[in-house]
Amino acid sequence: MGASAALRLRWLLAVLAIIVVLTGGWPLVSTTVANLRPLVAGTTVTIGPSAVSSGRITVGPGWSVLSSSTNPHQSYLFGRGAVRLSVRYVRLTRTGDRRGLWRALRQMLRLGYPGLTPGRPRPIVVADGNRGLIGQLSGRGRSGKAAVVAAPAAPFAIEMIMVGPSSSNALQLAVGLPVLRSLRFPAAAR
Amino acid sequence: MTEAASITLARITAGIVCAFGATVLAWEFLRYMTVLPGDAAVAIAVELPLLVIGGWAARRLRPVHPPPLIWSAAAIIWGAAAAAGCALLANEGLGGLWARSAGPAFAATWSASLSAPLNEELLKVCGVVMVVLAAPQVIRGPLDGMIVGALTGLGFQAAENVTYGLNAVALHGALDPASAILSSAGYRIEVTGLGSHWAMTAVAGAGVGYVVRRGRSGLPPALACLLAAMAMHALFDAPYVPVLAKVGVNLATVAVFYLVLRHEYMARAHGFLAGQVAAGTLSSSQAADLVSRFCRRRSVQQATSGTKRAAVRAGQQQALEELDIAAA
Repeated sequence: MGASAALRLRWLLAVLAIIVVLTGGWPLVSTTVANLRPLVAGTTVTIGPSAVSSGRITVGPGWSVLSSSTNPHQSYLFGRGAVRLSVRYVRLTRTGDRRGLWRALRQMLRLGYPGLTPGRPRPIVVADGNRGLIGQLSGRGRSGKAAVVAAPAAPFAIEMIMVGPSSSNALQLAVGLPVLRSLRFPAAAR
Repeated sequence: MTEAASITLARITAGIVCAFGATVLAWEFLRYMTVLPGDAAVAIAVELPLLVIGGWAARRLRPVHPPPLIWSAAAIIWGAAAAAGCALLANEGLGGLWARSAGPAFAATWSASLSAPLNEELLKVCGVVMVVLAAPQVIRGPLDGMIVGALTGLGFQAAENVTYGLNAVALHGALDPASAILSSAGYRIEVTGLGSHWAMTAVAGAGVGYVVRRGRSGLPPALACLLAAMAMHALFDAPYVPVLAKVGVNLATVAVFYLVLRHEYMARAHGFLAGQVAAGTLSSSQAADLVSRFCRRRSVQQATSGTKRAAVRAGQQQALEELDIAAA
């Protein structure tokens, strides 16, 4: 290596080929496999790093999971038509964190959904009786709902953000509300 | 094409790939930089001591003399920009493929250990190859390749730590971004840092040095080094293995390999110098002084004028050049 210009050019081309294959090839091959996995109505999924520290939600008919944007230890991304529902596990480190969950959710919206702003939060009661906050989202031709519920006996919360185009909002978002309300914390029930 | 033109082309290409990688990283984390600029600055700032101290230590590990500062910096920049940026795209692609084909649960557990060793080790070792192509005098053998590889891995490690820090903000729901970033950085520098990318790429980089020194016959040991680096990486990302075991195995692997290469290099260097002394080219004290950074510096300082100091430095450079050619 390095002895002549021709040899140098061959190695240079080899390096460029590796870079192109890895950065362009894998994403291209990935697109040939379906990303949407349809879920049977009533499917329950668990979000969290362990059985003790996790939440469960149950989806209704017509929902799919977007595989490449889902990591069951941290977050799920579901789709139904043009509606996207993100369910995220949030690790809490301090007791005061619970009070700041809605304020932090605003930051998460700015990071992940620029242009969407949350309305005034209202209380929400989920399937196992735990209480959290829910609010309307709107902005840039999109609308939706965001909810956050802290686990009763463990330092974590589940954050849910459902977004769709404003035009088809009412009906499509309505079918997402039962999914948000289906949240349970299995460890708390034991 | 002339030799000089091909070197210039290699340098320009390396610059373009680094700019591309930096753009990918900036685009991916643009929202953090605009929404949480102070916290993003903290994520970057906490990695600077790692780069400075780690870079200094890696260069000190090269016996006799360190690699040139500019090419040490170039290796770090390749790791932090070109390799890290390209790895982001490659890992998203291959990770997505695992998730789509084998399911999100499988991917959550295995995607990192099945994707990163292949993508990241290849992209990082490309940086060592680029240094050979852009500056042929910097890497003459496996020990040089190991040092440049460690620097490339260190740059990658720092950039990856920044991305993990910013991702930790989301994992903690943006409740306390600075705390999430500092906690992530602390873990990745203090706990896993000693067995991370710098160690893996040091091993892979030594392989590039074998090809430089031996030509085609250096390809089998180079491949073995690359596979060893990938195995170290797979272990590092593997689920179910205790963190301290991962770090310990990787650190021990690179340390033993380094000691072997250093011993071989010093044996060849002493052999070369003994020959120079026997031929009367160097005195025995000059030969002893040449392999010591401190003694070379003292010789320069003892020269009585600026002209003499420059002459001593030039003589040392010439002798070190010959030593490197013989010993690397």
